[in-house]
Amino acid sequence: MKLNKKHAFVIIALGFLLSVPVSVAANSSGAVLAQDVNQDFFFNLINNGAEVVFTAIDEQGAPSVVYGQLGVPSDDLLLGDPMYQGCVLMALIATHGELLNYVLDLVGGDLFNFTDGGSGGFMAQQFGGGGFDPNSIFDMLGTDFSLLINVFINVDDTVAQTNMAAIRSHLHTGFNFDFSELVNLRIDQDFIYSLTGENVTLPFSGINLFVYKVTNPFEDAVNSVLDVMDPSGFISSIDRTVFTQARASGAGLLAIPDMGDLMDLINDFGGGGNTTLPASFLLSQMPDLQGPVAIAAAGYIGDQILSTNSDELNIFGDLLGKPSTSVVNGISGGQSLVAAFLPDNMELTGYSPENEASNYTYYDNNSRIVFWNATAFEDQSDYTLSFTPGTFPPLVTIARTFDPDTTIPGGSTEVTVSVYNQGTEPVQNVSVVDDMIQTNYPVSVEVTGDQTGSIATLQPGEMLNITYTVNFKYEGVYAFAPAQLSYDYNSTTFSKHTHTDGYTVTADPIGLLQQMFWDGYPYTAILGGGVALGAIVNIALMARRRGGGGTYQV
Amino acid sequence: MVAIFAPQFGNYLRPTVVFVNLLLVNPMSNFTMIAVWAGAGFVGGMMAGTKKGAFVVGLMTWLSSLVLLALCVFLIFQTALTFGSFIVPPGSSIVDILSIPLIQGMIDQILPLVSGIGSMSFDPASLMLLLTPLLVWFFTPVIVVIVAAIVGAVVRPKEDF
Repeated sequence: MKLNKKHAFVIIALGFLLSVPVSVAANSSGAVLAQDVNQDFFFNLINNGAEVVFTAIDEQGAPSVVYGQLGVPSDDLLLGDPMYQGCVLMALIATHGELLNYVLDLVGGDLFNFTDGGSGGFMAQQFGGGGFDPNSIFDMLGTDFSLLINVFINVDDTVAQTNMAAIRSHLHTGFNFDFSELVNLRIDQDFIYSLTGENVTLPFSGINLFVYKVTNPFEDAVNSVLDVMDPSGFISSIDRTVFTQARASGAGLLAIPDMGDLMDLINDFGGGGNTTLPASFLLSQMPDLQGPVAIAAAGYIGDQILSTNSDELNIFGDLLGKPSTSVVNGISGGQSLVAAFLPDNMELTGYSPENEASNYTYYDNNSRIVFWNATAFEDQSDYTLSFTPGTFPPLVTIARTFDPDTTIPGGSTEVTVSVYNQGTEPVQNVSVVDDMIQTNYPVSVEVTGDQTGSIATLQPGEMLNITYTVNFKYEGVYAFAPAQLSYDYNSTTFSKHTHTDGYTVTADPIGLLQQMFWDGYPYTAILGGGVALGAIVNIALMARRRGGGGTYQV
Repeated sequence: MVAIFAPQFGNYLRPTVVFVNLLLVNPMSNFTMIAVWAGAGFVGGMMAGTKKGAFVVGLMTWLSSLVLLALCVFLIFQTALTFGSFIVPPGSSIVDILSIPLIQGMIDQILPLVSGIGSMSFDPASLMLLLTPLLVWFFTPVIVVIVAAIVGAVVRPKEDF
């Protein structure tokens, strides 16, 4: 697998999440990770809070953005309350759109070489040898969900159940969350025995795992995650709707009620026993860290925003919705960082603010990364990248519409896929394909019309449309897989796709009954005939006064 | 559930789900459905007016539902069911399916038993252990409807001439 900036983006994001134990260990052992980082730096990260904005722009000018915060969470969570006794971890995860597909595209499929037939270290033969598409997992599981996960260790089952009920109640009253239980599982010696038939000595008395579906809308989950953060930093400059209106977005909160308890637990599990292991070494270097710690993050993957004429990008204004009149400040008393990952085709001509002399900013031309130590910049209007115009292809959009928006069983809709060159330059070899609906629903839909289209040159302002009609036999929500677009510009081939769209076929009662009758014919006719015959017999009996009626005692 | 599965299972999925909810009733938690069956039985019993008639009405009501469920399941297989392609539409996920009360109840009841079977050799006793909760759910409606029907017949008996 060839590593590129996309992978670096994910690796650094994961690195941020893992930075707590590693940085604390480094601090305790007196190690210096960078020449400008003193030994108080890492404690400040946790005690005073830290925040980071990661942005990455791909070769087509589409952004990926993550905002994360590390530190002591808001008091509203009440992580010091007795109801968190025994709880070592609480996580809230909310995803929307195709975020998980994108993440898997970045780190999963290529990493394990599933999709290219297996020329690398990991072969796909175990999946039948014909290439396994990991995205098919998300086809089956779906990608939109919000979950609350709590883990209790070494407390009685009744205590865990009581505390979890109290936490749910608090999250309901304090954050308006509603829950639906998915998993309530206790793993202890008896459970292991029931699985294996053997008595296994465990390093814990019991683990209680609770998983709940958060039934609130995605926006509520994201806002709740952002509410837990320190409001003094970048978050005050961010328009939260960027995280909820993007085609693929997500948010997550990982709260540890007591780091000391967690460290003790890891030691009890054996991490602190054998000092020859790297993990043991790190644990042995841990300081006596107590109290709650939380990591919260929200991110999205957006559509193309940079095109042929673009020559600068304002990270907060263009990517995070900051109004032009407001200013950006870092987290109060904590550490703030802004990082921008640039595509290979972008020729950076400058960035601002720039202060490499004081080591507050840093640009690495090889890794194509710009770092700002935002703690050093107050009341900043924005963090801006300047680059040579012509870096990115013309803004060519692809959209899919349905007419009508919904229908009933037996009804049809006209699907139109439109490719529009909104740029100032022509693009060549434009091709669009939207032919998956019949494949995915071979029995329940009938398709007529062209599902592919192409044109040699699409001039600025021109559109390429394909239109086809889909007839639906059954009710339900039909998933239209993304329509695919490819085009050439400056001898480079670019590709785009639409969202996965859901089309709702509603259950019109009369229409549904008619459709069911004909679907089930002749059985439905026999059943209906039997009922009708019974009714006729009863009516005849009543007419002859031999049945029905009668009197009742009152 | 219907929104997610109906494109693959067809229009008979909705009545099937209705009848499954009607016929598999957890007596400890699904008080709404208990009330539905009891209400139907009580009204049927009052109309029948005799205990024998009430018993027949209650039993036939339950059996009719059972026959209709069987017909719906048969028609799903007959008319629509296609394997090999299953896509959860945008806006939902498998989590939505797992959080359906009936599915959740089944998981809660069956999961511990399934895990327990792993340590035993498979025998009819373990199968019965697995099926017991489902059997309780299955027979709850018929018992409720018959008892409620008899009560209805007692409350409002028909006069003999």
